[in-house]
Amino acid sequence: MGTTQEQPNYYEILGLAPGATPQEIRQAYLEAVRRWHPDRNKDPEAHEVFLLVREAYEVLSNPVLRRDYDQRMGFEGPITHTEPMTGTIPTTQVPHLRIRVSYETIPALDEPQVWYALLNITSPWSEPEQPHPVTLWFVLDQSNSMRKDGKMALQKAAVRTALDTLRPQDRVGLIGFHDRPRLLLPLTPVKERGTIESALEDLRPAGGTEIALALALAWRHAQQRLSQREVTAIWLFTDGRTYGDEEQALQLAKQWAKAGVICDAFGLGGDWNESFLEDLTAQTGGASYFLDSETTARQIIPEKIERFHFATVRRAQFDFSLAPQVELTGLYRMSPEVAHLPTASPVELGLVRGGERWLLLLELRLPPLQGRVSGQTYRVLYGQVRLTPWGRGSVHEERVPLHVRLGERAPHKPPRAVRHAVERLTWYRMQRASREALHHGEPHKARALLRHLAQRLTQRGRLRAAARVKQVERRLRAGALPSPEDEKALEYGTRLLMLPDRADTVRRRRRTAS
Amino acid sequence: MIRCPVCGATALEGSLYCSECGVPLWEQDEVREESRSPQTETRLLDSCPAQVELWLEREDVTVVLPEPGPWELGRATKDVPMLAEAIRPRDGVSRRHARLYWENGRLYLMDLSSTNGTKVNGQRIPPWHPVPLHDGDVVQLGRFRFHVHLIPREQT
Repeated sequence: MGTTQEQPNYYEILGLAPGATPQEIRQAYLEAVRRWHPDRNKDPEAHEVFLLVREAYEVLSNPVLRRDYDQRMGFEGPITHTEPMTGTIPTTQVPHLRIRVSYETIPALDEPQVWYALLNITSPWSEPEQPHPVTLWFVLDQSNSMRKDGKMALQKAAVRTALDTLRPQDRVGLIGFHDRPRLLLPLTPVKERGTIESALEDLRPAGGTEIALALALAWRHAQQRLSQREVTAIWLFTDGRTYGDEEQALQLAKQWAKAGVICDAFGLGGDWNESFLEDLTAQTGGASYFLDSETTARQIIPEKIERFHFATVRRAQFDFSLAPQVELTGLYRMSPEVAHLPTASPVELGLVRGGERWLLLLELRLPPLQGRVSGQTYRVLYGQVRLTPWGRGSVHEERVPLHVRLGERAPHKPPRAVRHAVERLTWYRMQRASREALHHGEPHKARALLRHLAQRLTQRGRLRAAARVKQVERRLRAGALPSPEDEKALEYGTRLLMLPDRADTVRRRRRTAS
Repeated sequence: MIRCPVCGATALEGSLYCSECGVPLWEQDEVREESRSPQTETRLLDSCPAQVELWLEREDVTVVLPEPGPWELGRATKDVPMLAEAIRPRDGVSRRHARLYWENGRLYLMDLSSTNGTKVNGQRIPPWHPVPLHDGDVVQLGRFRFHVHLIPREQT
């Protein structure tokens, strides 16, 4: 064995979560065999996947081997992947915040060091019986470039997918934009589908991409009818870059965050500015997505809308202050939707529905600590999570004290959940770094990063993701630049990998309200 | 600062994974402590005097082997994942085909009684019989070929 290997996560390979029942394991195994058997699947990867699948089943189907394996992997004890709550269990006596850190004790070094904390936050309230009303503003791109590659059709299909999931009483409004925005449809109940469809047909490409103006128009309309009893969201669809008005758009997003309005963004094609969309949506607790096909739309959109309908909180915020010279170098929401959150307090966390939790990874850079006494406690961050309920209940606050003891580092491994989260973050960053290297004219470095990334992904049983990375690497080796779509696929592919456990292999079947 | 034992990149203390090659750094505590002392540098130098790189002919990929070995080569072994991945079913490579390891400053290859055998520079080698390898040797596992490159470690 090499020194750096970890065992593959057999649960992940079968698309399961630790704690799966023997029936689930058997079922998942049979499905995986049907899919990956080399006689059926001609993908060059299929053979390897098949071997892994068999290996996984051999271990997980044997109670003794499975127990040993779970022990070795630290899957025992409380399983972090919670099942949906039934909605009747009072959960107030359960703690709603669990903090895990990379090391409980750190040495007082004369150089800076990195320290990680993972916050697992659950809502004290359960899912509502009746869905919350939703008001959804679609801000749709009708710039000229939308003519190409079926992007306009994809955009419309995405809107229709949303309409199919929304309830008849929910309301939608449509704004189309190119150089200037236009109200295509004022707020209209979803049950008036004909009216909405004909407005959608009005969407015709012309002109450029001016996002801030369009968002401002959406805000002007949304503001007129804001209610604390419903979820209001603004969904931006775009295939392009906006120039010079990013700051304006971000300022707007800050206002939305204050008003509890969520903004999500969907990028089409390869030209849109992902960091801008990410910053924009993260301000409001939303998320950004790469919409490459109708399949993706069907995977993302209904899930998001049901999260609005069955949100267990009205709002969730995290505010904090850092010790002197401590730097929050990264704040990531790993669950329920992956996002790179702003590192300035307060931060909007977005919504969860029953059975979901927020998982936040904090990367902190601590200053040199020499001169401090061993055994002393060093407070790194002090903060609180504020959860606002629907209706009249009082705000639930969880204090987040992050401190660490100074002394000899204990010989333990960091907790599995922390390792897991940081590993995924590392993958994501490697992919980003490779693209940066490429843009700085260092193709060699870019390829090395991708090669390593493919290797790591393979080791961890993420073979499809590894195949995607290798494909891009091969293209680079042939001297070609990756297409913008390749880059987006990599970006959002590795971002999906940041989701805990099985989320990128099997999507949980969601309860749709009857 | 700490150094990644695989790719040599530096990282801040407390880092859990190498940002260049993604390997875990939290497992490396002992290596990290040791790699600072000159003796272990020499020890590493003694045990693996060169870095081993495999150039996979068909894929045109260079695989740097994670140190210090030994490395089991085959389609179902995990010591050199890139290799396991590159191998295709029709290459006739066994699950555990051959072992590569350093001993007394020399790199050896031993066939693990594989179904389709192992060749070095076109010569079939007998199973369970280690043969020394040199820079530039061409190894064939079944029908899968790669070249061995030894990059001497710089003397400090």
